[in-house]
Amino acid sequence: MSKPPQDRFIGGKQSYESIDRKIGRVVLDQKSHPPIWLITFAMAFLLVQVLGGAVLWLLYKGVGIWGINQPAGWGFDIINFVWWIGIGHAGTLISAVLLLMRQQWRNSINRFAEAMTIFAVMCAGMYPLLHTGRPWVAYWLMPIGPNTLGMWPQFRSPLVWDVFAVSTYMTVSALFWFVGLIPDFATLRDRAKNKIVQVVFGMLAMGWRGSVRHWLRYETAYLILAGLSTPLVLSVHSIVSFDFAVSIVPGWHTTIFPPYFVAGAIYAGFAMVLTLAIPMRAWYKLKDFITDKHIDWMAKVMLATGLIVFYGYILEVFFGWYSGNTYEIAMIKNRMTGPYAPFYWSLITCNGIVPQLLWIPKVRRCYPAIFVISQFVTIGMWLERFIIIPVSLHRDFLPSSWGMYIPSFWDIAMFVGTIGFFIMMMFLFVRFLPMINIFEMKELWQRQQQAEHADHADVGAGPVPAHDAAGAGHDKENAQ
Amino acid sequence: MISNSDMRLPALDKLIPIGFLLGIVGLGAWALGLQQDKLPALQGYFFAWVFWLCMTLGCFVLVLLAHTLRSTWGLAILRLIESGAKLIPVMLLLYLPILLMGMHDIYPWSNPAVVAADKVLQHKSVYLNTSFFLVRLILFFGCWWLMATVLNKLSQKQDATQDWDLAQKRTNIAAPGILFFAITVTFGITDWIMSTDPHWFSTIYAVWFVVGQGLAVASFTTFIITLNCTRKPYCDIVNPKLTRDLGNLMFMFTMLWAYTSLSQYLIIWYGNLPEENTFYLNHTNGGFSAMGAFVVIAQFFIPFVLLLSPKVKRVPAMLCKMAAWIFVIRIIDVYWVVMPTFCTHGPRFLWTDAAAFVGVGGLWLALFAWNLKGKAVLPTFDTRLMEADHA
Repeated sequence: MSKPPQDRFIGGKQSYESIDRKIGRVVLDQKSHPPIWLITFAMAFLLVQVLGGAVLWLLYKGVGIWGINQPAGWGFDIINFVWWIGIGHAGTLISAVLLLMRQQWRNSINRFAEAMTIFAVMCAGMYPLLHTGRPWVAYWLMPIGPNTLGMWPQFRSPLVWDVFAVSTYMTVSALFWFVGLIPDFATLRDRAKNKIVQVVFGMLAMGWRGSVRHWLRYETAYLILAGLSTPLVLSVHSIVSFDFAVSIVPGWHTTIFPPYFVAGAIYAGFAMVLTLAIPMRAWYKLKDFITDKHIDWMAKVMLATGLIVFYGYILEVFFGWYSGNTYEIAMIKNRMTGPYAPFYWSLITCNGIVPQLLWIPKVRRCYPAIFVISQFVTIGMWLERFIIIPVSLHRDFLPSSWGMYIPSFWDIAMFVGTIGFFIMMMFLFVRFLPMINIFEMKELWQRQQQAEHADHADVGAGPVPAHDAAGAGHDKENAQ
Repeated sequence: MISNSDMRLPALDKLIPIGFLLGIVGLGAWALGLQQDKLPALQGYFFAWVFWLCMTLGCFVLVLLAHTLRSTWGLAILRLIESGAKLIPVMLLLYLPILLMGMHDIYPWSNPAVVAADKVLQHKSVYLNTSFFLVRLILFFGCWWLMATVLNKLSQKQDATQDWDLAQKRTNIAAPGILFFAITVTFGITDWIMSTDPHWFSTIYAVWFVVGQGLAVASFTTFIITLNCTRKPYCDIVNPKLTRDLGNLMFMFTMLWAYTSLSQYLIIWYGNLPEENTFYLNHTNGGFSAMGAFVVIAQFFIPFVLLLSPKVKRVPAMLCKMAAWIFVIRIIDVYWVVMPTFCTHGPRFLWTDAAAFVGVGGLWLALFAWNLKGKAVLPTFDTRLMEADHA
């Protein structure tokens, strides 16, 4: 008789109190922040000013300040929209899908990743909104009524589906995040020494006292929200992929697009989680909670989704040829040897070749290496959208209407600006909200304790008596 | 210590004589039909082969997944899917009638006269030609067989030695194995199934098929486990947690099937390009449109609603019925996918189709049970299944 070796997701010697203290400290003790926080925040804040300038100028002059043209009517705006939305996906996958799959390793990274989702969706949402040219009439996208507006959205257009998919995604993600925060707000309220902090967290905690009834309602609500979020992981990026796939542009119109986009989104999202988690856990000494095991598993998920994406690239090339269609073959040739060929080959390098290093366990234990690979993936996923969007558009069916796409200064300013916005929001989040789920860590710690205890008690004595599994839920009360 | 004899499922042995009998009678009847009218008999056989190939490959892909993820549902069905994956070479043998008698009938691109009159097929002939086709066939089946055999040996060995390093060893083979399988099966399905209509193509087609294979095998194994839930050894492991996992596995494949089906349909329907929409035009000819609609309702909406309910996933008898339902609908679905290329006027009801299906299926089931005869149907190296029972 044997059991698989247990995985430990909390390191060091912990107690309920030490978990509260170590995670809560980051918020409650504002002096604990390293100087790097201020430096990064200041730089990000500067970039937000660039974003503000770019948006103001855009509103004043119109979308003509961007590099989009005929035939490339979609450029940085849509590339960055898809890129940001994709980055958000890891958050939903970690918090909802892994919860339903009962994967305990999600517990220390979910809060963090959910915050990332919300800020990434905010960045993403700006682009199509501003691309309409008249964001002040965005309500025209809603089916407000033919009698009041004199018009009706074209519901056969995936662009309209996008509006609903993304706004639902934003709403559900924000709700999920907030509901998950409530018990932790209560912990912070109880631990805070400052009166104002107590009042603020007290209001956010919405009267949480940790009674059995509270926990029961909480667990139900959380599970329902997870169930709602799970299809969103698939649907949002599938609908984004329909924006392209339902058209008949070579390079856009291929049936693998929905799953290939979803895998790409999760790929980019995990790269971003790793990009943020690796420095954060070092700066805030949270290596006991975001353990080496977590980094290892995230790297594995990144590798797996990266392989799906690479599979998509192979299919595109093979079926481009197999179709026997002149335009499809020309599109593949143009990608590989046309004016944007260096971008295509950089894409293959960044997304297809470099991440293969993650097969090696040693690389998955070397954090600088994972950090660098994550950057490659982030850049690669951006290049993928670049290859799909303007490179497919700039040479279509008629050679007489071919053109080139070159982003303008304002395109780049706005892109850099949203990166600044994202970093600024993440840094504010880390400073003012608990970045790791405190009560889930306590629950996980208790389970780990009991499992270890049981292991010591019954060495070689057959199946483990299961008092532990049943007890775990009830002891949450005490944990508060 | 659990002895090996407790882990056997003698009820499965009954399948061996019944299966062989059905196999001989079915294939014998089919051979008679072949004498009378060659073309429809070959087409019917092709459908039967595709369905049972999907079962075999579905078993194999779930073996790879189970060894990579090492979850408890994987343990419960491991010995069953390993037994199915062992049939990879049998499926290659069963392909011989098509290769020997029906290449030109099933695969128009293999006929030089057809290719000479068709520019697109000339372009494709670098890839779609009989010799390269055979090389790929033997290469893919050979590699899969080798991988399946090595993995089976390693997991049997762990039962004997209780050595935990073997689990890691299997993961080390299975994880890159999934990658290898994904790429080879894409080309395989393109060759064997998609190229029956050599002009048409769809990039999601192989994914769609593999998801269907997963669904068929998930329902097949769930059916076996829940049907025998009162017998040893399954009575020790069947509990609400396991049935929920198995139910969720079917639910996940149901969702993925719907997702891939919808993606392919929507994108082709919306684009409405003449080189692509032929597939759905064929597949909605005559009675096929009603059949397709029935599959959508029966294989998505009904299981979706029922499998959402916790009760269906808790009561083994209900889950058993659900699994049987899904499995039967899978047969209709594969028929709907494969046959419209051949019979353009709607579904046909030919006794040779049924005879071929029963014959190939009977053989498959008999050999499936044969592989498990006198052997444990659960791995004993991992006790997580038995522990879950007490929890």
